Amino acid sequence: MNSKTLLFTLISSLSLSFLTGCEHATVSESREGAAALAALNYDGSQTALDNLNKQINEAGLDTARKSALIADLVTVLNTPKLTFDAQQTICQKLGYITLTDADIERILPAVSPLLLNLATVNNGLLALVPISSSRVDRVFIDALNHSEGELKVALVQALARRKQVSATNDLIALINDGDKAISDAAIYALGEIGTREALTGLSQAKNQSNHYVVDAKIAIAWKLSPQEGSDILNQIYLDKSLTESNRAAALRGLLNLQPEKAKDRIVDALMGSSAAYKKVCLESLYSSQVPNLKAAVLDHFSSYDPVTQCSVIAVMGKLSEVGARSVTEASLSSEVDELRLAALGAIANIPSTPKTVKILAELAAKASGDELRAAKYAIARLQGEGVSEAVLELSKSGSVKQKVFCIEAIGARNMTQAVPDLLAMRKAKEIQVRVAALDALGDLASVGLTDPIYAWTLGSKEGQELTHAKRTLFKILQLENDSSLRGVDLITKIKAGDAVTQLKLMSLLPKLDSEIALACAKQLALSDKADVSSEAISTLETWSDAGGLVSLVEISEDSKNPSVRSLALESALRVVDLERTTPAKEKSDLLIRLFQCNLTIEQKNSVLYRLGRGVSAKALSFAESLASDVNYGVEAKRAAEEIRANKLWPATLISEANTRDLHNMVDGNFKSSWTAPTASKPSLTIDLKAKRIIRQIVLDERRDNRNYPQSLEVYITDDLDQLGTPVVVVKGTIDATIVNLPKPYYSRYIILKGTSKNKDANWSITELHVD
Amino acid sequence: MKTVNPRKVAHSLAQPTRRDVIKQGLAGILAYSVAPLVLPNRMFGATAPSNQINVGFVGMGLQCSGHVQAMLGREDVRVLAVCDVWQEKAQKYKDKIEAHYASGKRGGSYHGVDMYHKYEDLVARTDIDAVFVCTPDHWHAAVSNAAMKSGKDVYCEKPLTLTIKEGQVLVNTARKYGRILQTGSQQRSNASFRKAAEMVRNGWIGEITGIRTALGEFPVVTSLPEEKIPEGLDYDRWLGPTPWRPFNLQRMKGDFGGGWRCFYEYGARKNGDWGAHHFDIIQWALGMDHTGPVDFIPKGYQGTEYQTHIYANGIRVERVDNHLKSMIEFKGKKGTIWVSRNDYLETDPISMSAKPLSPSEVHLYASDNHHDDFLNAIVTRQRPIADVEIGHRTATVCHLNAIAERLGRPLKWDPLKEEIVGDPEASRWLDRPRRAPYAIL
Repeated sequence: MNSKTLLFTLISSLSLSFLTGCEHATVSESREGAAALAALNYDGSQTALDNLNKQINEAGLDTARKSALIADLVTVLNTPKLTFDAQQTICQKLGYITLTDADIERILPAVSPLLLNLATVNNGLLALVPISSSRVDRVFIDALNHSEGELKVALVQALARRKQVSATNDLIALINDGDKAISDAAIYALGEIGTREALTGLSQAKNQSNHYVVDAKIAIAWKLSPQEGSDILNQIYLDKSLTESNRAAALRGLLNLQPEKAKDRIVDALMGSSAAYKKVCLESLYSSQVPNLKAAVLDHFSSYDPVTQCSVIAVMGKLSEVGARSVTEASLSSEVDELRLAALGAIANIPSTPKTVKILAELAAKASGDELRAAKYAIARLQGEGVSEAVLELSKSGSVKQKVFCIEAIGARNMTQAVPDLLAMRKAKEIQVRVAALDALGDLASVGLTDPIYAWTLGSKEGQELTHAKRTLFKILQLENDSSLRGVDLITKIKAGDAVTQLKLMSLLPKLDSEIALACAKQLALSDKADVSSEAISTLETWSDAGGLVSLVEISEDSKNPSVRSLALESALRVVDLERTTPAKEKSDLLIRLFQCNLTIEQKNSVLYRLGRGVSAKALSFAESLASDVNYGVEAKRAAEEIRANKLWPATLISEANTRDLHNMVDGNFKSSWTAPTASKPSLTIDLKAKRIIRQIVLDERRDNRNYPQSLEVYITDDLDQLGTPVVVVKGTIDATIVNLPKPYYSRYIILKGTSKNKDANWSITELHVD
Repeated sequence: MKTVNPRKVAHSLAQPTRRDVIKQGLAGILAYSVAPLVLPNRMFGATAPSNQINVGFVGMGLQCSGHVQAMLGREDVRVLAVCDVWQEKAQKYKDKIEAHYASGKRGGSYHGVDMYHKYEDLVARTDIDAVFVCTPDHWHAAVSNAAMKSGKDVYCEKPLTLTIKEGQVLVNTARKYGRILQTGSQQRSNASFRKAAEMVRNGWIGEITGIRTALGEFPVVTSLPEEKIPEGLDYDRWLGPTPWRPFNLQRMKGDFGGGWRCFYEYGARKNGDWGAHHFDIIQWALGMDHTGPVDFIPKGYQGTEYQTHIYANGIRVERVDNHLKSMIEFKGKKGTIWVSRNDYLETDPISMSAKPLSPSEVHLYASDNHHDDFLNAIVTRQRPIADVEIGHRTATVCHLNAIAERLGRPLKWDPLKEEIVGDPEASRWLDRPRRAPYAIL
């Protein structure tokens, strides 16, 4: 061993102590760490890798610590039974560390040989590609000249990544190589290097139409002087043997490098027939600094075909080009639908005038669908002197449609200065104007509008105006941040008001989402005014939380009026039906309370029917307690039977169509559903897990309410091999399909077959219930 | 026994809560903020072949499904090709797309969708106008770059890139070749996020005192046993430019909660996966689309409670992950904004969210459908809402956060020069080595 090697080995041995990340590690611990790293496998313990990462992070920017770590890693690299995974990992880490010249010399003997073997070349590249050094340059060239095939490709690609100028001649020698992968890689590398020498070399490529050659030339063109670059790009642009996309790319470059010719080139392209050229020219408008370019493009607007005109207008709009206003305004009157649409999109961003408002309002009065929406978009954003004033003026003086358009715009433009004018529109003859004014006031909602909007609401007759007035009133009420005060004013007015007032304002109570609103609604339900009571009960039925249902039960309990009790019961049962999810969540307690109210026999039996959907011990016990009752026994026994059967719920569901989402039908979640295409005539098998009573099947479709089968065949059986004939065939219906069986059945399986004539139709079930 | 038909009551039952009122307020405003399509489906006889936009898909895994469905639903688009390194995935989509087109034909058969194993062959076609790139992150840049150089416009899933250097290359190519690239940050095409950004931009909540966002977390990566490579899968090509690893389906699986997303080799974990959405909206709201933060501090560094990045004006963005009531929270001296997906937008004061902008205020580019916006841009050549530079700048924020996390130390960033300041080690991470023969970007 010579002195240099001895010194290297001594240094390496001392440096081993750093491998475990502990300055005071023993030599044996260090050796263990090195051994663990050398034996690294990606599918085994990663402790050695974790330790290495930690050491690298701890070394941070400390040059001495890094160098010591590097020395350790080189030692590991030289371990005889080093795994591939360890080699790759170490090389990868070396590539992320900034190396001194001494570090580079240290790693080269271990890493350079890796470049000579296809199995290890990528590992070598991990370490060496990031190193910018003439020493490493020579290593690469040397390796290149001793390689072939795939190995050569890898090295050429590495030279491209390094943009290694010193390899230019070696790469030029490869551009006509018989192996296309090598020649293409070499051509690409020359493009990355980007020098004049590289360009000269490229001219020697036999196939100048090869897209690698063209791309490389384009890449070089951007790196050389504008004159040189222009020459290259011009050659490509004029070469008709090349693809249009190549030539378009060259054109794009010329627009930048020869700005003095940009105007003519762009106008020519836009007037021409090449979509590829038009695309790059339009795109260039965004970044071009050429003076008066946009004006030149607009000057020739009438010469372009309609599609190009649309594109030009769109670009000008995005650039807020004031010079495009007259062309854009004129296009608003075009007979071409798409051009009007493009102009509407653009005008919103172009500084405008009162004339623009007038044109928009005239267009909107005749428009519908996309175009009307686009006009509303435009007027909401339109900027310029006098624009808001023009909007206000037309809101009072135009045709009815123009007025409505401009009134809506007042709201959309947040023109709070127009509030008095909007309030005055309460006296307008046209209902459309009054409704639009109310909506605009809703957009401009402020607490100061409370009293006039209350007055407007209470003064409105039933119908559209009242609906919109209430909507606006609600928006104003919502402005109150303090939830304890929100709606207090409304409730006071309701309580103090006459029946007309109460009937008008009551529907706002559920929207307040508060305890005092709920209490008010309940109080109204117990009122002795029949219409008020009835309306209040309907309102409670639509309450957003459980409070509504509880109140309905309380009304059934507390009211001395049988009609009120009936209404409350019916509403309560509708809520129970609507909110039905799974047996575990059934509202058995409330149903038991309802049963105990002063109701008719029929009403109580309908309560018992719902009680049968539950699964609780209390519900079962209650049902069983009535089993002998002469009036309720039949229904109570069936309910008890169902409750016992419900313990096996959810059913097992089987279908050949969409097996993935079957559980969505029984998860109690209205936001999930099962869907299958009816064209394949899917069947759904419901295995109830044991024989049980079956009286009704409910397919809740609310999540996708229009996806129901036109025809639903229902089979009930205990033997899946013997379906027999359907017990009933029903038509599917929107929102929910309810199958009432002709008599109660006792079976285990239900099979549903859905069909539809529309081959694109789907069958969707949000929740499935069996009674 | 009568049972009520659910939906008949559901309408009236669905009384708006406070939250719904905000949504309704937003809905009212939507009528005035929907960006019009310049050239919608009925463009000059949309179904004529010369007026259709022909598209190809690269990457037929989890994410492409929504894009394929969207394109199949359009008369002005024709899907001509699919490409995947796993033949069965490409075949599945080829069959699905052909069945869709066949159902609209008399005779009911259609065989016009080509299948490719190499994206290079797909992008070389001269009859394809646009390419959807739905691969894992590590392939985004190479495929997008090749497509643009071949004269195609690109819709590339987010995050746009695996490295910052890749993003610079893509911006360069898009501008030099005059191409349109839409990043798949579809939250920009959602009215709630747009309104939130507009409120911030217009100073409605005053001086920003802090921004918080929740990205969630992926499971920790563990070593995976080597498995047999399935028939028809070119695993080497799937790995592409990333370092070799033994095959295990967990490593390459498309899974919103894990799979390849967990591995730094193929992405930036949650910083990339969800950061590409939420950091993007924050950039938008702050008007930072062409620049970015200057400081990145990893969680736990010297007691830092949350991963944080800081803009030059002092605004701090913290990744909180737990106990945040929305995906993004903007706090200011005059109010707070909470915004999430599914049209969730809440403000304090409450009136703010429903208030319209006045024309003199900043109105952000309105797009309400990310695909429509892309297809629009193909025809009009306007920069789409998530243009390549925007996608690159957002991805930069994602990557710098991930680099700081992996190095365990803060980073300083110069967004103008696009350089890490004073840390040559960290600067190495701006790009990654690329494995041959996939080293070409």
